[in-house]
Amino acid sequence: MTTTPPPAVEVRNVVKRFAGNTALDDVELTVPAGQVHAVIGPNGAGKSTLFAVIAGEHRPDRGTVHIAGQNVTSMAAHRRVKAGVARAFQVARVFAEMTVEENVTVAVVAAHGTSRVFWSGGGLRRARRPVAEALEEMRLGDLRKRQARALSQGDRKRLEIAMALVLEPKLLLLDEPTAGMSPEETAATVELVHELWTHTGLTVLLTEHDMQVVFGLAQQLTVLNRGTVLCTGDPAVVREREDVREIYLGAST
Amino acid sequence: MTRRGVAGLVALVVLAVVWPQIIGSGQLFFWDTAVIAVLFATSVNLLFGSAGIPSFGQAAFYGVGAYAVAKVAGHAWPVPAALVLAVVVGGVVAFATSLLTWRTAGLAFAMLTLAIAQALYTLVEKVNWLGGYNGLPGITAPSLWGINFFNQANLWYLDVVWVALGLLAFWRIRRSPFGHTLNAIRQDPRRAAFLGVNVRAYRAVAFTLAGCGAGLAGGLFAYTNQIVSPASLYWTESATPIIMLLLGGISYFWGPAVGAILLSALLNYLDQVTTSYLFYIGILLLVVLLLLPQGILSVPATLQRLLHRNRDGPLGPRRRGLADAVGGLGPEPPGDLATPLVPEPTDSASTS
Ligand SMILES: Nc1ncnc2c1ncn2[C@@H]1O[C@H](COP(=O)(O)OP(=O)(O)O)[C@@H](O)[C@H]1O
Ligand SMILES: [Mg+2]
Repeated sequence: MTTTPPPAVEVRNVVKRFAGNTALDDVELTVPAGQVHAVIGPNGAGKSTLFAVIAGEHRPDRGTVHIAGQNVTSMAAHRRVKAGVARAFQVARVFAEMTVEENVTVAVVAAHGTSRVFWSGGGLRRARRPVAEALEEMRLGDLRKRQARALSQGDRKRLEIAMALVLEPKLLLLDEPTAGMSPEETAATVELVHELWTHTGLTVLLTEHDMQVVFGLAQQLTVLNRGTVLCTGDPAVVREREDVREIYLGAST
Repeated sequence: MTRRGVAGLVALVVLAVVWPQIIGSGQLFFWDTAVIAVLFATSVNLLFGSAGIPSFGQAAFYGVGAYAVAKVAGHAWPVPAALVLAVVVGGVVAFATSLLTWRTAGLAFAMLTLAIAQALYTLVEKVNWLGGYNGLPGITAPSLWGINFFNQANLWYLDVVWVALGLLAFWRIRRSPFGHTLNAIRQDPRRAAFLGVNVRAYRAVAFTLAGCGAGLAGGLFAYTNQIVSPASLYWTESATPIIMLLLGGISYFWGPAVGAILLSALLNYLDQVTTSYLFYIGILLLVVLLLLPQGILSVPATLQRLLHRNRDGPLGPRRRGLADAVGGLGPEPPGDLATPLVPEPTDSASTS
């Protein structure tokens, strides 16, 4: 008998409040290793806050977060990255005064562990190939000399995914990865995430408003509403639930 | 290196060699202090220009470097050993300071570094072993390989060689993965943390390296000035390199150097013609910062932009200026769970 690996993410009883406003209210979430899991819900449901708690940006007021079996509830964000967690933000966050290429270089030297080397430029030279490959993979090759602040929101999101991928994560958190992308870019991104998942078997946790993306990628769905989990399950089943349809009636997205 | 870069470097070397003949021994002391200011300001720009760390206490490390050389010069330490000691002492005191300021950033950090430097100043003033208020006089560099440094020109060459070594080190740092990462930290420390960068540790290393450079500059000043007093640690000594790097341009490697030469020259020559020279320097600073917020070195880029309007549009590199240095004063906690985090303003604004 083989032992099953611990879940990639295990969130237990997490409560997160902002100045009296409860963003997460006793949230439970388990994502088995190797799964593509989507968290959906209307705006303000707490999806981004949940990602921030998992990535180490916010410490929950109550509850615990385990990643690959390890309790990381009070682990600093940069150490979670070393433990294999990478994220892309809902509003893409890149280094605005750097070129596309330089942005990815920051991530590559951090991943290689050469970012602390101040006495030699070798780490930057060794980063060139992986940077070029990541840009090719995200179809950003033509934009590599472009200042990041001059990019469209869709290009920024792809740049951020490129930066996350070079970290070679075991768990990838994508907060509305296709927001601001054209339909073609969206399709390409979905294809890319799918390809990546089939090749590396990494775990992907994503939020998304575009239901086509969700149903194209996710094996499991969790519906979040006002900080609480409404249900978790198979996308086809969840889609048909009356309460899920109801909370989406008001929200046009 | 580009052909122009090589030509510029050769010109600088030639100029340094013939400078004592051109300038005459009367003015050479002033030029010694000017090249030392070049090194000091360049070291401070690792903090302001690269890492976005607004330190107002760099005089502390400059001062301890100067005192270190002053103390061992009495025991006839050879020059290289004494200057390496200045580098080490400057770095160690800076590292200790970075531990004391570990949890602070922005304005709180700036104030804390100022306070620590002033505390050191007060302490040094009271310690008899360091000469108290009067400091340590009679410092001379013992002759090295038969070169004696009572000779003004030789002292100039000593300063220039060590300043060049210091600049080389900071050039190397700027072009290293570490320097690249500091640039990222300056722009968005929290984002850098989510790439696996331990922001506080990187800031501490940058602060230590800048302290090493300040220590070397202070050590050279001790040999040049031949007397070290607590004034080397006074807060005005921290402010001067900041004015220099703002004048020259914080986003250029040579910005602090240009600012240092310019300000030193102005202080020296204006002092001889008018008593209200500080007033004129204040006016100049104001004019430069208003008309050329990115420093004097941005003149070619500014002219080019005026000539070829929007040539590279929004895509060309933007150079940073005062606004960015002050922007470094804003509150921004790195993504670190050890301390409670301030809510993220950009995310909450966009999620509604
Ligand atoms: N940093 C913050 N400070 C204060 N309130 C926040 C912050 N982040 C999120 N919130 C609030 O928490 C709730 C959940 O927000 P969020 O997690 O962004 O929802 P979603 O991503 O599902 O749209 C909202 O009411 C939002 O206003
Ligand atoms: Mg959100």
